[in-house]
Amino acid sequence: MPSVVVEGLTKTFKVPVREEGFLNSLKSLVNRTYRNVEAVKDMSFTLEPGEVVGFLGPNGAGKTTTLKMLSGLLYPSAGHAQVIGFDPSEREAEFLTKVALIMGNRNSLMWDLPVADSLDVRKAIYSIGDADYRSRRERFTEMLDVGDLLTKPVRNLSLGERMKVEILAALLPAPPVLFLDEPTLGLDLSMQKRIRSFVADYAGEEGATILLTSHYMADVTALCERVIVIHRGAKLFDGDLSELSDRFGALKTITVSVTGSLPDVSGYGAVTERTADKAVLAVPRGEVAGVAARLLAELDVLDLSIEDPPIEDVIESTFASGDDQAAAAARVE
Amino acid sequence: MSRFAHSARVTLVHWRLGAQYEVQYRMNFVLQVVESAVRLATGIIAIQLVFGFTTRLGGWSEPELYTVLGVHVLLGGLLSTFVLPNMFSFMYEVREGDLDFALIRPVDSQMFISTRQIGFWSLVDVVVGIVVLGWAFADLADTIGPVDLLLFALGLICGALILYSVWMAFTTTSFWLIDTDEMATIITGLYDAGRWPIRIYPLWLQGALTAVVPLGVAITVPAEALTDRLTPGAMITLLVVTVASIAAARAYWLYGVKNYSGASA
Amino acid sequence: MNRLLPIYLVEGKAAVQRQAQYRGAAFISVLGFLIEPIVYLIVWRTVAEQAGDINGYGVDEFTSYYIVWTLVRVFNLALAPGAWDWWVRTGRIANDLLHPVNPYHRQLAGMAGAKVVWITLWIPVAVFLTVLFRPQFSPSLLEGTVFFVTAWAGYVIRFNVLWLLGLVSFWTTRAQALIEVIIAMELLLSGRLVPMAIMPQWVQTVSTWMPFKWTFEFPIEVFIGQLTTAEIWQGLGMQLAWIAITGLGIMAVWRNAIRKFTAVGT
Repeated sequence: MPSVVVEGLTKTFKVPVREEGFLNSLKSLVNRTYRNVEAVKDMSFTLEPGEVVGFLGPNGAGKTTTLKMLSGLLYPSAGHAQVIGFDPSEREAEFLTKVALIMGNRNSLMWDLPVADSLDVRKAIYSIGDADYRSRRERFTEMLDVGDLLTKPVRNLSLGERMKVEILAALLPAPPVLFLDEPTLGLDLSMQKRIRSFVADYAGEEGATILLTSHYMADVTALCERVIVIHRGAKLFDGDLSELSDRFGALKTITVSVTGSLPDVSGYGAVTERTADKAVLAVPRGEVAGVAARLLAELDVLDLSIEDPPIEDVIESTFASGDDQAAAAARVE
Repeated sequence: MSRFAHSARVTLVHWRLGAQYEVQYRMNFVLQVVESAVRLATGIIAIQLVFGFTTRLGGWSEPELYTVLGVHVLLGGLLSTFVLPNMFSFMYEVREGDLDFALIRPVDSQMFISTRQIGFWSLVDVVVGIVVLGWAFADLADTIGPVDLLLFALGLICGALILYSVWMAFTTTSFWLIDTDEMATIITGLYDAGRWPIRIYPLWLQGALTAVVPLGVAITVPAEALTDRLTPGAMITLLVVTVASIAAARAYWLYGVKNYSGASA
Repeated sequence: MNRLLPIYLVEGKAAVQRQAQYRGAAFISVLGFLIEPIVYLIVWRTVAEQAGDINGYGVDEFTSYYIVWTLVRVFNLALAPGAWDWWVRTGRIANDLLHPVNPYHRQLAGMAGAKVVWITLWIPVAVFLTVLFRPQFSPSLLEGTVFFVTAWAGYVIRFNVLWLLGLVSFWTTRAQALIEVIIAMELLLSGRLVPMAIMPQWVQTVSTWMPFKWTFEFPIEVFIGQLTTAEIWQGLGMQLAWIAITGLGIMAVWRNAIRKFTAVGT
């Protein structure tokens, strides 16, 4: 019995058209025109219990919209979804107790009061038993290392600390289904790692089904074996993470800066950016070590760094604008 | 170009863009009309109730009360159109810590934050105020001469400037207080006290509404000009309060900005 | 029902803590609420001084009325329909909609808790007003207790009415205009602007059949001892009826309002 079944899910928004200039403003006073924005187009996939799946895509791809439809916050324009046997749009109390949506950068705890007080409120709202509450609270507090934060008002916490306690609060009812929307957005590296390991532990211990969106590859590589890629509202890819790297011909970027002026480096790899003393090269994953070694040996290198390109670049570069045929061909069901 | 002329230019651009933007929202127009109508009806009903039982309120007759109401609505409309949106924007920015960009423009800072936005449809209230005044004027026409009208116009301008200065000073306080929602309700409440001529209030309240938070005098004195009650003393008080308010608000603002930017006072 | 009680308790407690923290700001708010009744008080005392007794209300009666008004006002403060706009715009409503509890309960409980603090802050204000205006009333312990009940009932009614209006605002922005009109009606029909006895007879009849009077004037009259025992019982009955009617209205409208919201989202 799958945890999450999504079939032909579609969401279209009607957006008013607004143009510049006084005359146009007056015109729209009398005659308002709209255009349709398809945020999610005919999305279908299935999640089995215990799966931890990454939901990747650039900004505005439709990830958050999909999650909101699966949590009951948005009513789909077409298609339907089933989450642990419930229709999210019905918003039944049992459904809401068993499904958690955590949105990065969103604050749902009481701002002025100590974290512990908000946790007590959650206990009442989710009807968590005393024993369960105490044990989970203790366990999660330790796992997230937020022991000394519980007595502080939420407003006094840093962004990362707030995120940690939000996650703690959201998981107190031990929901079997967890949707995470950009949970590490804006956090520093150590905080990101901490949150990722907590989510991984939770998934392992509770056997929860987790759908996690991000536009950081690192979130996904740490937690997910399976990945769904969404672009402009449509599903582009659904399969193993390893396959994703191969299929999208993962490139890495090497940023090299030298003392003095930089000679022609086009021989080392594709140059995406260049100034007098610095260049950014796109290099196939397998060749990175070799190219880096050559650069270090042959140039007067001041600084060299190797990074993953952001997911937007990967997707955009592989499916150059207008090349929707190739995009369709690459879609894996 | 002089600094002032430059700031004035920027102000006009702000107002034009603001009007342009809001004109699109016909729902806001409809809402405004309903809001203004409802407020007017409430004001009229209150006056009608009073005059159902007496012919004079503290010596003021019915048309005279309508004069006060008219000035109240008119000035309130000007306030809501040109002043309040900017004040609330600024207070919001202080709360969010988004202040810096507003203060580093190459324009006078006070003028900039005071004129960025317009509540265009609140001009409906200005029209309503004028209509009410016109209606009251019909009953009072024979007691008013051209000099009275002139003094009334002057009084209105002073009233508008005082109201702006009071709000400006209050908004400046948010540099320190950060959360000023509650105080905003007080100032709005005090403005409502100006729907009635402050002369009926006990002296301590009149004094407060003249010297401390001069919202009352800003409305009553122009009304007095139209109702043949204006004493030279009152007019002079109004002028003095106007100049004092503008100066005080400006000084306070500059002090606030300096303080905020960390410059030693 | 037993699922709700812990929620009410914990939410109310949290609200008390929150308000206690911001008691400075809360006190200023309480002061802000005073301006309106003091203005009404002065105006009507002036009229009464001139015209004598008005339908049973003389200078003393107006004074008592508007001073008790300030306490009842603290009791009947509720979530303004405008707050819904903020709630939706900031996306906070999404958080609340994810919980398996209708946000109604948390808000009702929260405001009730806040009131406990506000009423304590009101006390010095009451002392000040009493010294300044010298009202004439001395309720018995029984009258005080009954007042207490009617004041809380008034809160629930007003909260429900405003909550309903907030929900209606989901339908269309045209509803906003309707909301303005209803708020104005409340001002006139609840005893907020003037005691209903001052109003023409037909207005008084209309107000008896609307919920507003039972949130404002009725508790005031109970306190200043203007009603017979029969009238008090009738009034309590009306309050109960209005709590039921508005409660049913909310239950009927909630699902559809949420449908409207989830069609568009934040």
